[in-house]
Amino acid sequence: MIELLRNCSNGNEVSTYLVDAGGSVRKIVKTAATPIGVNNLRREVEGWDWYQKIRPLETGEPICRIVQEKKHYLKIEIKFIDGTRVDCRKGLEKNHKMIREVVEHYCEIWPRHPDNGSPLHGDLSLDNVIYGADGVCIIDWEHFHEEGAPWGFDPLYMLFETLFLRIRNSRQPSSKEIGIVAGNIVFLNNRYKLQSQMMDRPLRFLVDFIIDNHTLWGRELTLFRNKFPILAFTPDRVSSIDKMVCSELRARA
Amino acid sequence: MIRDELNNLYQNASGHIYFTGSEGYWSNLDKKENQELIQALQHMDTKEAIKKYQAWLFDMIFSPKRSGGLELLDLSGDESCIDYGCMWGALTVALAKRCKHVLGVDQTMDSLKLLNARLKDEGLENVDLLCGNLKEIGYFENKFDIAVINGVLEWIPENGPIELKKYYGKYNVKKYTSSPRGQQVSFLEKVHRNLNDKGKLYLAIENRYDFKMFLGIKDPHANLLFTSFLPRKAADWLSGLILGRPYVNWLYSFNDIKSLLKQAGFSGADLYMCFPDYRFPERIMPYGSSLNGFRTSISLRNSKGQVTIKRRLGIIAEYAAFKILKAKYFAPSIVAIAYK
Repeated sequence: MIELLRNCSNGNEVSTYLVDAGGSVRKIVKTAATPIGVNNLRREVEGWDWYQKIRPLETGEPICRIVQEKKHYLKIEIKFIDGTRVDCRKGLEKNHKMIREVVEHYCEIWPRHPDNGSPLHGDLSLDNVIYGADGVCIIDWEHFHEEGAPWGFDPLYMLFETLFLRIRNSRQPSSKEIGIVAGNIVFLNNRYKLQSQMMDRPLRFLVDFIIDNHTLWGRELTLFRNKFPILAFTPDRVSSIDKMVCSELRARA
Repeated sequence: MIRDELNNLYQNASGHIYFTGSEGYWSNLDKKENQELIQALQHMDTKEAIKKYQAWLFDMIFSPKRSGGLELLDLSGDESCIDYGCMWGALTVALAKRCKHVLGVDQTMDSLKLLNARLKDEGLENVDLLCGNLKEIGYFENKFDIAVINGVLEWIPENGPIELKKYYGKYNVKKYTSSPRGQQVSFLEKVHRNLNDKGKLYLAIENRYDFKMFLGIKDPHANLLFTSFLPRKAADWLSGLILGRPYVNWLYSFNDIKSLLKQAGFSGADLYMCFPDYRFPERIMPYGSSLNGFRTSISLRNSKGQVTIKRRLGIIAEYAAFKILKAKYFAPSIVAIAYK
């Protein structure tokens, strides 16, 4: 049986299905029939290919492959990865263990290239992480670029997105939440030195990077800002959160 | 080849359009609006024309979301398809990108002209269009691998020209000679005959018992409250009272759809629940599934981007009906994949 799981959500142009081929054989199928959608699926295949090279998974075969290709249409298949997922809407405090696992995983595998030359996942959110038999597995590589981002961008984005989904523009982050953000920034910085702006005003840096480099994400930034929840923080909030994180970072230093 | 058969049987009107000789009219737009659109196509492409003159229809025509259900057909890419009541081609174009050939059939020449221009914009050569009444076109015995009936079956019992905006009022009182169900079954019999032995039908339609209809959302066809689920005679009476005509846009429950398809000769059908509706599906789940992992599908914002109380209540009702009560019978829309 087949089930439509997501259909062009948040303004993207990809449909995602769960296919149950009987027994315990399950797979994810993604299709697209527009240039933007097809491009996202090609990135997904490229992303998985890259990820599997640096992080071999239990199965030796490719996780993701193209199954049908036409002039205006692409269909790809991804092996179903069993494991647990967390609800990113529950925020930083309830998810802090999983967040640290992801940050450690990133530090372990992600190569650092000079300037903005590091690989970009482009949508690293807790929603896109599965904790399975092999440990942390990052999924959903539709925005992958083998180079284009400063090292640390993706986990930093995940931290602030998780924070936003909990507090939005309505309440101040708690000291615990700020502590979790700062703690993970320190962890990242201990692995490879982060760009100075990422330490001085991390949220402002993320927002500016996305806006200045929106072509990395195709049209989604201009038309569908809700794809990037952190862009909904008001400028005042961005400054005040940055101040809190920085003073915490200074205290820890 | 379908194209050879079309050339033998029908006159070529223009481009990929063939004409049976009998044109009808069913459109969300009135004739003047359609004329304006067709004229605009002489100096702009279809997307620009729709944006300029009928922007509210843009997603209805062009959104890739419209075709999210087609993958249930498990297409190989080599199929010959027929799209009954194709209109502006939301699914015709989607099929053409996935399959070998598509024949789109519709009674409204204006819609087909727009679709023809759109096919040119998209560079799709594997589509032919036939203008004619779905109930009257000749047979294409065993010719198709795939048939699509998307939001069309409930209109089969209607006859004569329909401008949808006026249809919601008391106009155009016509004679209805046979039962809606009888007409729907004979149409499905024709669809069945036109499929080859391995052929499959994709049928999408609102559920007669869609939970929203009980909460004061009007039937999307007659624009009346409660008509879809009332006993047919009561619906006739209500429609007669307000619109001066019987209620003919019959919808069905999951079980009824299965028996309708069986009656038309189909050997079997897989049923799916579709949320929030079959036109812009967010989630499609097998009718047999347990609704585990159900997420509400109604969008918090309306088409103007406003958060309304009605929407909030809709989301709460949807959550209660499907997440808590698992009331599958009341799912908003039905998709059936039927086998010859």
